[in-house]
Amino acid sequence: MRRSATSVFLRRNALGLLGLTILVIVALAAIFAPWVAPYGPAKIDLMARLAPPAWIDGGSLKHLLGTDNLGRDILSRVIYGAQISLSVGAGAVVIGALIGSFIGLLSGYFGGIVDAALSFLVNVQLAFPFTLLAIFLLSTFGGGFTSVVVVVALATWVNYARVVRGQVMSVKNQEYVEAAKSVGVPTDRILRRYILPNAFSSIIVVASFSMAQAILTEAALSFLGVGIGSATPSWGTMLNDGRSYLQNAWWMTAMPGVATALTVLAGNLCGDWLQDRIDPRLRK
Amino acid sequence: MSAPPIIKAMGLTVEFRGRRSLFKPESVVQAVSNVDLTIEQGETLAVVGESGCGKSTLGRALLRSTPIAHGRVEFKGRDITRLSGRALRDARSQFQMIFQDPYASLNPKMSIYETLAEPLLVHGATDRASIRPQVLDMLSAAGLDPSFAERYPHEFSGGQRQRVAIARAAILRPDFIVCDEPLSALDVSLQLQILKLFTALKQQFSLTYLFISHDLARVFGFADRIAVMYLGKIVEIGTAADLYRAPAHPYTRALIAAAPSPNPHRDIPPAAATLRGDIPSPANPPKGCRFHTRCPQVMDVCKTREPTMSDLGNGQRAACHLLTQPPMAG
Amino acid sequence: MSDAVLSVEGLSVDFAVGGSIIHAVRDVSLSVAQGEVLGLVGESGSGKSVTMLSVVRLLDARRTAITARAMSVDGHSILDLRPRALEDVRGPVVSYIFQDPLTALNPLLTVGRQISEGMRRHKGLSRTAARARALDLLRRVGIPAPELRINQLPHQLSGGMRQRVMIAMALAVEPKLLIADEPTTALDVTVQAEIVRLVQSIQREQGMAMVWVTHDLALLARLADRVVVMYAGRIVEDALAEALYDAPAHPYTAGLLASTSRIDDPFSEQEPIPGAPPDPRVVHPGCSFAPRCSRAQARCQGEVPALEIKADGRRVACFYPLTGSQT
Repeated sequence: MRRSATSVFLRRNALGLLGLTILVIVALAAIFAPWVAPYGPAKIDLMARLAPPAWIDGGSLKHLLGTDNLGRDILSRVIYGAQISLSVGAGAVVIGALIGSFIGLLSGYFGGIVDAALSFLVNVQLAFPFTLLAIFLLSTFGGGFTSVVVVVALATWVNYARVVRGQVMSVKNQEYVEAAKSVGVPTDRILRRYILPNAFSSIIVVASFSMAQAILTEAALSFLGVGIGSATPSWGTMLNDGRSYLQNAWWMTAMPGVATALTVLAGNLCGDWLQDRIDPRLRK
Repeated sequence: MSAPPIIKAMGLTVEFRGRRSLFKPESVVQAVSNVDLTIEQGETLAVVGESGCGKSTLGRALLRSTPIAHGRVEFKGRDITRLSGRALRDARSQFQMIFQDPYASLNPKMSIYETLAEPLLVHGATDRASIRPQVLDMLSAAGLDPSFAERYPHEFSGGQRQRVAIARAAILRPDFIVCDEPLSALDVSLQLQILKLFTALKQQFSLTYLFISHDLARVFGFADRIAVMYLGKIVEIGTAADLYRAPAHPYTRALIAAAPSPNPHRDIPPAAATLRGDIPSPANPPKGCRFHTRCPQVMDVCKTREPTMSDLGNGQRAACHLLTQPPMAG
Repeated sequence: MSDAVLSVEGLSVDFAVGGSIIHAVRDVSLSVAQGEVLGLVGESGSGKSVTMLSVVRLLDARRTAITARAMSVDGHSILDLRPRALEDVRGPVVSYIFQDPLTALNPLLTVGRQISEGMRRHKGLSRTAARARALDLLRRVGIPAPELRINQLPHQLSGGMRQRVMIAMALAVEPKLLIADEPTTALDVTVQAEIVRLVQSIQREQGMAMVWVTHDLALLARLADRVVVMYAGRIVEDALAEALYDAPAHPYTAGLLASTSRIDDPFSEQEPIPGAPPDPRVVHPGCSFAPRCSRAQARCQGEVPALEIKADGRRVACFYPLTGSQT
């Protein structure tokens, strides 16, 4: 009846650890892409255009996941594509977390008019069709890495703002905050030392969900042709490239699609796992 | 000639506003209603009452932790009713508060050392080297091992956490500490320990306490004076000895009768002293004497006129019509 | 022992919390006779509530392991009952009153529905008969205007009223055994006094057996016939109330009694128990109270004292108990 602590730990955390493992593998592949990828992302092999994956008739071990219409190695492009997807994701998470947490913090702590104004902003953002906004912004200010990161961050800051606001509203009524006030701790110090540290765990949870959302958003923007220019492969661009070849070269679409789906799933698994671990009601 | 009292409250009233909605006019609850109170240097005044009597709100109002609607509060002869901002924060080094729930009153992300150093830092301790010995000294004064300093609140039991909270309140050497039900979250065997700690610290640092409690039996021996509150008003105040020997207000008598005693041979309290029914909502207190709906000795006058405080000598005062117009015989 | 309404022998309860096992109750044996009021007293973590919750099998079965040599209520062995059969025991045989009536009542059903439910299920009463009886019970537990209250929802009642409703629910099925688990802890003292009087008078009238679980020794002084004191999962003393209050035998009972708030004794003479209750995750080889006990000797550190029956029928688990002269 008694199980070892390790097996209990593994059983309870299996899905979360799986998600974490996938994310780590993707991140390592992205960082070490020049060493891991068999070819450069733009290396053209005109002799092997539209080669199918290795396990299908006509495929070869030279191109494990096949090639695209210009004979570029899909495996290599997926690996390099991870660089773009993950860095857009990470950049958007950082910017979104900073903006959203700050707004949530102010809104939750001060309440009243501040809260009403900021909550209105959140609702406007939620009501606005995001794709439309993104296309408008990117076509006005031009694509490129920074613009895409900022636009994707715009899609996610609301998540932080809402969660942090709720968390702050419950933390600010804790007795230790009242105790700090009655000792004479000034407001900015209360926010920094008492409120934020106790709301931080929920920011981490939102961040892992938002990472997944950001990767998906970047893919969608690139697919729509308003993402980062086509020279740098991103999973979204690859999906877009493959669109016209769906009939005779499905792998051009399937491979970046699977990579996107796996990474997003991994991010969500991590988020779920962190949420369960951090929520004290579930932990006890 | 003599030093001014630590706390002097006159006509103190605290109001809470209920949420106003489309169909409901705004409701105003007087949590504390027109309270006069004086606390002398070095004494322990216990404020006793049941839920909704306003005892915690009174304590917070004296420390300016909740807005005061009417009346004024003087701290050592200085009017602090209108202090705000920096002046209020500075004054806060001289009066402190200890909370009910030691599991909620310590920041889980701050070590014990950081928790105790915080008041010193906030009140301008410039010499960082002097902070450490002060914190460690305070820990031992509160009956905690100085080696606990680097640990975090979750590693401690309720009793130990309450000691930390007490140390935090005492580290600035304040004149006055409001203790808001500091025992009620603790196990019986720890309550007396903490009460003894309060006594020891009071002597060591010459403190003055306002001790809020629902447990009359617990504070009888510990407090110098006791104020009994009911629905926002002080109904009786006097020395602990007088209140025990000769309680004047029927509510005080009822509280004494209701307090369980571990002595099975103690006389069963007379039925006349026991109360019926529940406490009315403070949002809608009864007219006249607020206690008349539950009073075993209620008279007609109680339902219409609010009683005033009668002086019974030796500082004992009570607000009851029985003291001014005894019931007719027969 | 044959007339015992509740009989528990060698009960142990283990919880799995996180990765560790907590021995919440260890080798507890007790019995309650017909018409008897047993006070079960202890501090948080003493295992008093867990003991009684195991009697009605209301603990989460996936995380707890209950073992006992024997456990029966009114002759029904409850160790190996199936869930369906347990439901027939809970209610008509044993009823439970919880500390927090707000969480124990269904917020979406009227007071009347909740009281009637048990009577309709266990006594086969019709809807109207059950309602009439519910009204009667509400009146009996001292609820003013019961005709109005019967149609109200739990949140429309005050804390004291809710606890009265809980009591009415528990009494509706006329149980043989009533377990009251800190039912007055959340209430104000004057309301507590009234509830205690109410339950006591009903208990005497119906002659049912009752277990009153509490942390407050003072509350039991005039309520219980017999008092069982628990510490760190074990029974340390079991004695008739009068004997226990006059001359506690276990040092912990004596310390708890001295720590209990009392109006009559001078504060300076009240002596607290030093230290704090033990961490339930740490298994102590000897007597769990030894680290806080002024009478502890070397033997207490290494050996767990057995609960022995003394000449006067009192049970004490201590190698060096206090005798009458030493109180």
